[in-house]
Amino acid sequence: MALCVIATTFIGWNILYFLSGRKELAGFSFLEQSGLSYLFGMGIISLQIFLMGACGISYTRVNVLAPWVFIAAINVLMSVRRHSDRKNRDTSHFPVLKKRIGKWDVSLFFLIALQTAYNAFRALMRPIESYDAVAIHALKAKVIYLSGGVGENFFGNISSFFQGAHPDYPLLIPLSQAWVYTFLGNLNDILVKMIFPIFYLSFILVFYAVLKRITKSRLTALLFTFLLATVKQFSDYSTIGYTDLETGIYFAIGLFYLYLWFQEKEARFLAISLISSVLCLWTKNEGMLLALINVSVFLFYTLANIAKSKNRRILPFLLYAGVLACAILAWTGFKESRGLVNENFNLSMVSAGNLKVGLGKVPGILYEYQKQFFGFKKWNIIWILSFLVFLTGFKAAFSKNIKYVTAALFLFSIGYSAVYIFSAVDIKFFLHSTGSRFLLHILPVAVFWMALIIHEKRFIKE
Amino acid sequence: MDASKIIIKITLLIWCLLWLNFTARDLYKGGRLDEYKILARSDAEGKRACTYGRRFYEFLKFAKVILPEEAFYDFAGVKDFSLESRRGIYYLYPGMKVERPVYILVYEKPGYARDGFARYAELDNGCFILKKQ
Repeated sequence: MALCVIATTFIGWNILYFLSGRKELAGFSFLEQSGLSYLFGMGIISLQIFLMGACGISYTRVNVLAPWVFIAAINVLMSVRRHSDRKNRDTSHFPVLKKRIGKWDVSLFFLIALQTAYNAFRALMRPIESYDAVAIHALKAKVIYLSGGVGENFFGNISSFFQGAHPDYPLLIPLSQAWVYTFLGNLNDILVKMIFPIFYLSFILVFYAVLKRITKSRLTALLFTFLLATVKQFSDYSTIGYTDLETGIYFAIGLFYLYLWFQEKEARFLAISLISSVLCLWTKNEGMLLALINVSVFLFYTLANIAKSKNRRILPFLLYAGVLACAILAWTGFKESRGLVNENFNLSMVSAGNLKVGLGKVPGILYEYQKQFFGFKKWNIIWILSFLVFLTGFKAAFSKNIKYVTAALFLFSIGYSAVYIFSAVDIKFFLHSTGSRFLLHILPVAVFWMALIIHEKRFIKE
Repeated sequence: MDASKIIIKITLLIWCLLWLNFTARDLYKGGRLDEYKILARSDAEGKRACTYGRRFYEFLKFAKVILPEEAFYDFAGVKDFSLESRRGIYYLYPGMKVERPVYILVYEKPGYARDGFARYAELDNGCFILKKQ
């Protein structure tokens, strides 16, 4: 398992290095690199296995890794060339804090480490067993592993023989599991669960690094990382094999690095954001809506700044939106060609008739939202805190680039409420089975947004 | 001490109390601690048995041994779309649960019979496999 994680992280690191271009990974801390590398590695390998299947190639450990050895060699060559010109190296972007590590820093670090270790322990205590995890993702992973890839008949077989296994769902998690099985050489339904706490840990590292980069305060970064890491719903979902945590993770990274690009205009931030948005789309159906939220936020930014900038400023947006549109069209086109339709929600449900019926669901939806808002058991007081932060930092929430994160939160609320309103599924069942899970998609962004406002108001003094 | 520090400390205190409370409640009141003690001492098979339920896991293991690898089966005594059914379908793959089965896996239904099927193998009186004649 350790070898699998190392190989996956190595692949992700090569992607990250390649994206960084001439600046290499200067400005990225070791923690940030490690986190992003694992998250990218898992995502890209799953895409690679899928594409190999689409080309009729069975996947093995060797043929998955082989192209990456070639890319690693190119990276080494580029690195050697660049190191001869030391002037290109720039370490100015990641804050190296000279301030001594205080007792608060140590305490928060210890508590985060404790929660992470507890998550890993819980994940390894049981095989994959919770409902969607076993009925959808683990089942597909087993089918893929035993047949040697995503073969021609895969989607047809899932549709015909496994009712409720949702053949239309994206395959990042099943293919990640199949990749682990391939590396282990057997179908170990316990050890494979380790990928989930590592997703959690990787994201926690990235979250901390991004906050530290923005706030230049170790304490602020640690404090909000601690809040996020110890939200029970967030940590619980890093142990059970659902895809909601990963969807929230990729969406959040997409938005965080977009925010960083707004601040610093470094192409590599935009590239990280774009890849994360594509991987978000590849994790769960809702990922498409989340990726579109990132595009919309980028559009708002571009429109707001178009007057101040020259014509070329629209190019990054067009590139970002264009690549994402291609990814969305490719995946939806693929699904259409296989006749894969989501029965919970699809665009054919968006109609005036459904809206009329759906408006009757609004009280039920609002009731579910307030249940989650005061759901201390799952969420601690995170939603109450975010509401208070919004009230006290109203001006800050709409200031500078924070307003784009605020916009993302509003778009999320509107988008997900619309899905509930238009969906043909019994609303009580739909809300009961998804309400608390779907909030995981926005939780990291909400905590990030709180940190930005608190930082903007200079509330925390070290 | 300024107001912001006091607010942050109170918030953190409330946060930590709730965090510890719900984690501890899960462990002690929810019985997770006893479960974890058993699970931590168990090997992979023991973990599966403990998670699936010992009786159901024993039944699945029995079925896996008896059935041909790619058998078409159905359950009797396991509700469709239940968590047990999902776990069974996962565990028995590449065997496949179908509407017109060759085998019927009877779970905790002593005396269960279906026209055109005969008893093929049995774990005990309540759990057995029928095969199409």
